[in-house]
This record gives sequence, C-alpha cells and structure tokens, in this order.
Amino acid sequence: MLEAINVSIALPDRSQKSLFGRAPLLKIIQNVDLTVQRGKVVGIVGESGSGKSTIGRSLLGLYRPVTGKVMLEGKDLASLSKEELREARFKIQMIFQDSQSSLNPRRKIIDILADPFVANGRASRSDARNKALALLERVGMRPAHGDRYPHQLSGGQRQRIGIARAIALEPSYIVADEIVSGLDVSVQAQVLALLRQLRAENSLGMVFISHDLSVVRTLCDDVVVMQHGRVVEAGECTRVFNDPRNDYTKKLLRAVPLPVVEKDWLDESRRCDSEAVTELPSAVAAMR
Amino acid sequence: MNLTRYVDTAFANPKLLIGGLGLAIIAAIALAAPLLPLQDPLDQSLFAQNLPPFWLPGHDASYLLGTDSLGRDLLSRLVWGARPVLIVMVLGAALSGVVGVIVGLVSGYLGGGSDAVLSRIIEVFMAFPPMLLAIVLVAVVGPGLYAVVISIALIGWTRFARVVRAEVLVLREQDFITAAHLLGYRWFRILFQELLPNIIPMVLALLALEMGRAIVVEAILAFIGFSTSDMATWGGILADGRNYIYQAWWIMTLPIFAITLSVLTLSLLADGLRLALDPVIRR
Repeated sequence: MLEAINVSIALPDRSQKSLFGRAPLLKIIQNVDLTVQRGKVVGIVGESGSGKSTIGRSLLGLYRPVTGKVMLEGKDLASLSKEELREARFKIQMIFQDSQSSLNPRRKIIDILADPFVANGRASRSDARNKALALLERVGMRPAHGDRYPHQLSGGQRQRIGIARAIALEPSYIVADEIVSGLDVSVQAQVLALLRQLRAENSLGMVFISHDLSVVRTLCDDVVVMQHGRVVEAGECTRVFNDPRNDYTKKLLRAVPLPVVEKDWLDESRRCDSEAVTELPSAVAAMR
Repeated sequence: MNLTRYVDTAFANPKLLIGGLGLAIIAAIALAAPLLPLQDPLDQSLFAQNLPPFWLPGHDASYLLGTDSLGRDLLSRLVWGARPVLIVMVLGAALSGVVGVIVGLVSGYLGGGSDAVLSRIIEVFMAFPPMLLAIVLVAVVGPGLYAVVISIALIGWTRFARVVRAEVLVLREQDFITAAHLLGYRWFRILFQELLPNIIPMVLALLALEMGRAIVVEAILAFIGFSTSDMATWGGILADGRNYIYQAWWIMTLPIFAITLSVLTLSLLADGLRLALDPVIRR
C-alpha cells in the first residue's frame, strides 16, 4: 500500500526572494490524504495549479512534506536514508507528461531501456540489452525502434518508451502524470489499453493524474478531486461521477464537453465525397 | 548516397566547411614544416637584412616573403611559427575545456553551497585582468610554451564553466534527469551519461572559439617576450618587425595577416559547429 497521510507541501517562492536570506515558502498542497492499493488505479483530477502533480511527485519522495508523511508499505519515505530511499524508489516509478523531455535526447531507445538494469547491477550490458528488447515488445514496439533516438519516434511511441522504462525495474506502483494529454484520441486509447494490460499483469497500483474526466472515468477505481491544493472530494469513481457531493466536483463534471450529435449526421446525402476518401490513402503513400 | 548527403550538408553550412578546412590547413602546415623545402627559420644572414617579399622591387628569389632584420627567411619563420601556435591552441583550449566543463557540471548539478562557492571563484577569475594574470604567471613559472598553455587555461576555463553551468541548470530540471534519479542512477552516471552528452555540442563550439583566443594570447605573450625563444613564433616576428615598421613594413604585416586569418577561421568554425550541432536550428 502506498499512502499519503495528511501531507502538506510547501516550496520556496523564488519570485518573492529578497537579495539575501531565504525565499518564503509557498504552500502548494495542504492536508492531502491518498491511498493506493496494488492493482487499483486512483485518479487525481482538478484544474491546473490545483497541486495534482505536486502530490504525485511527493509520493515518489521528490518533495519532503512539511506535515504528514508518505508511507510505502508501512515505511515513512522521509525517515529513510539516501541509500534506502534509492532502493525504495525501485518500487515506485513515474511516467511523465512530456515524453520528449522525459527521454535523454542523445541516447538511443535501447540504451535508455537497458540503463536501469546496468546502473543497478541487475544485468550485464548484453543481458540488459535483451531485457530492453523484451520491454520494447511488452509495450508493443518492434526491436528496430531500439536503434532510434527519441526525436525519431512519434509522441505515442515515445510515451510507450516512457512506460517501458517505468516498468523496467518491476515496480509495485506507478505515478502517471497527465500522460495522455499530449496525444491524439486514437493514440490515447492505445496507451490506456496498454496501461490496463500492465496493471492486470503485474497488479500495479497506479496514480493517474489527469484533467480529462472522461479518461479518468474509464480507467480509475477511485478518484480524488483537488482544488487549490486541497482534496475537496474523494471516493469510488462511479460514486463520485454519478453522485457528486461537492459543488466544485459538480462544476467540474458539468464542464465536460459532450458531443452534440445531429440526428441526420450519417445520412447518405450528407456524407463527404466518397471519391476523395478513397484517394486519401494513395495521396499519403505518394507523400512518403 | 551517403557521401552526397555529407557533401550537401557541408555546402549547406559554409561556415563549418571553411572553418574546418582552415583549421586542417593550419594543422597540416604546422605538422609538415620539417618536410617542406624551407630554409632554417633560425638561420641568420647579415647580408640579407630586411629584404622585401617577391612582389616588391629589390627582392631576392631565395627569400620568397623576404627577410627580417637579422636576415632570417620570413616564409620559413611563418611556417615554423604555426607549430607553437598549434601546440598552444590545442593544449590551451583542451585544458581550459576540461577544467571548465568539470567545474561547470559539478557546480550546476550540485547547486546550493558548492555552486555558490564555485561561482564566486569563477567570478574572481573573471574579474582579474586576463593578460595581467598571464603575465604574472609567466613571471613566476618562467617563459616558455607550457607557461603560455597554462596562462591560456587560467584565462579560458571560466568561460566554459559559466556556459556549462548555465546549461546544466536548465537540463537538470528536465524530466529525464528526474527519471534518472527515480531509477536510482548515481551521480557519476547522471553527470557523465545523462548530462555531458547534451552539452558536448556547445563545448565543441566553445573549444573552437577558445582556440582562436589561444592564438591571440600566445601572440601577445610572444610579443612581450614571454613565450618560447628557441622557436619562431608569430608574436616573436611581430616584436622583431616593430622596430623596422618604416623601413620594412612587411615583417610586421605578414604575421598579423597570419594571426588574423587563423582567428577568423576558428571563429567561423565555432559558428558553423554551433549551427550544425544545434538540433533546433538543424531541423
């Protein structure tokens, strides 16, 4: 179990820093409680600036809470030594929003995926290479992709690499921070399907941070709604979505855009030029 | 097909092409000096003082670019003078680069107290008049080529340190460094595998620039007699020619030409490298 108990986080506000002396602390999140069980997905939703990412990162021990604690399987992350924290982190990994900046632009994909094994003495170079190839396959990519650099892949492919790297050390928990927000809808669906599959295979506990309520609704078991650094509503996904109790949650749910479909949108007469549609694939092929 | 692509790339970046060729020519001349049919650059002839180069009246066919006040062959001295330039330029820039990059990496990556201390040290060095620093150093160590190399490094490393530190400050906030921490990478892997390759392009451009500066510093130190005295140096020719500027202007003009041209070449190379290696501009 990974849990945040009454966690508040404050970070130095550099814009208010005087020439000498310390920057004043700015409270980012206050008294947040969160529990992730293995095999469950907890969604965190809220507008930007509500502290979603901060709580996600504090679960990884990247920020030291000013009050409360983050407990990983009964151990307080803040109480661990540097070396113990290093070991503990193998159990919690992260997938990032910006797949471009989350991969070293000067390393090949195969090396990016082999490094976690080599760096932690889990495999020799050649062994690690095989493990990296296996990872590529697990996230549905071909071995040939290993020889490319991150900028030679599409956003969806890069995000798969980000996922592959996160599961390399077989963690128990994963924090996924807005990982589908930069992807188009069909690629989003593929990435989400991959996440579901991995959760089922490894009984991963997942924290899924998103501002997209429809994605959260399909993927998550529990959901936490945040506003201004506080949790305003938390509970089972179906309950929160069907019977929101907090005003802010209600507003958020009302703000989800739903498609307005005209009755006759599939009418024969209104279909676009069928010839143009058949020409499209050949036009794409010609462009290559 | 690959070859044509390289040729295309080269012509798309004429600065890199010209700069690279120029550097290759300087290096080739310096390395081939003993093989060329030249007179001994130190051989004096009191019967052939201040002879003009071949396009002026009164020249001597055996001294293509004329002679200096001691009757030494200027062409030979210019060619042999490229040797100390090459040594000083390569060693000086490399030494500045190594010291500067390491200090910059450590300072930027560690941040906090160590960064503050290292940054203040860099500032102290930058605040010191660079030539004065070099002169004091040579006065302590004694004149010679290696004193010149050390002075160049002493002056030049701050540039590398500053630029590398700034770049590391930007890079370390990127997600792939956070990921490296989460995956338990230790500091040397993060520094040398994750960060260093990302600053190499910039360091290369800085190296080319620093090589150009090294030539100027060497010339200045040679001019004031602080460089080696058992080799012909461009700065040395300059110093000799100064006394005869009215009678034999070419003695001073020729090394000035050589220095200007090589510094220009290296500036072009630095600019070309920057363009070629910057992924944003390249795309």
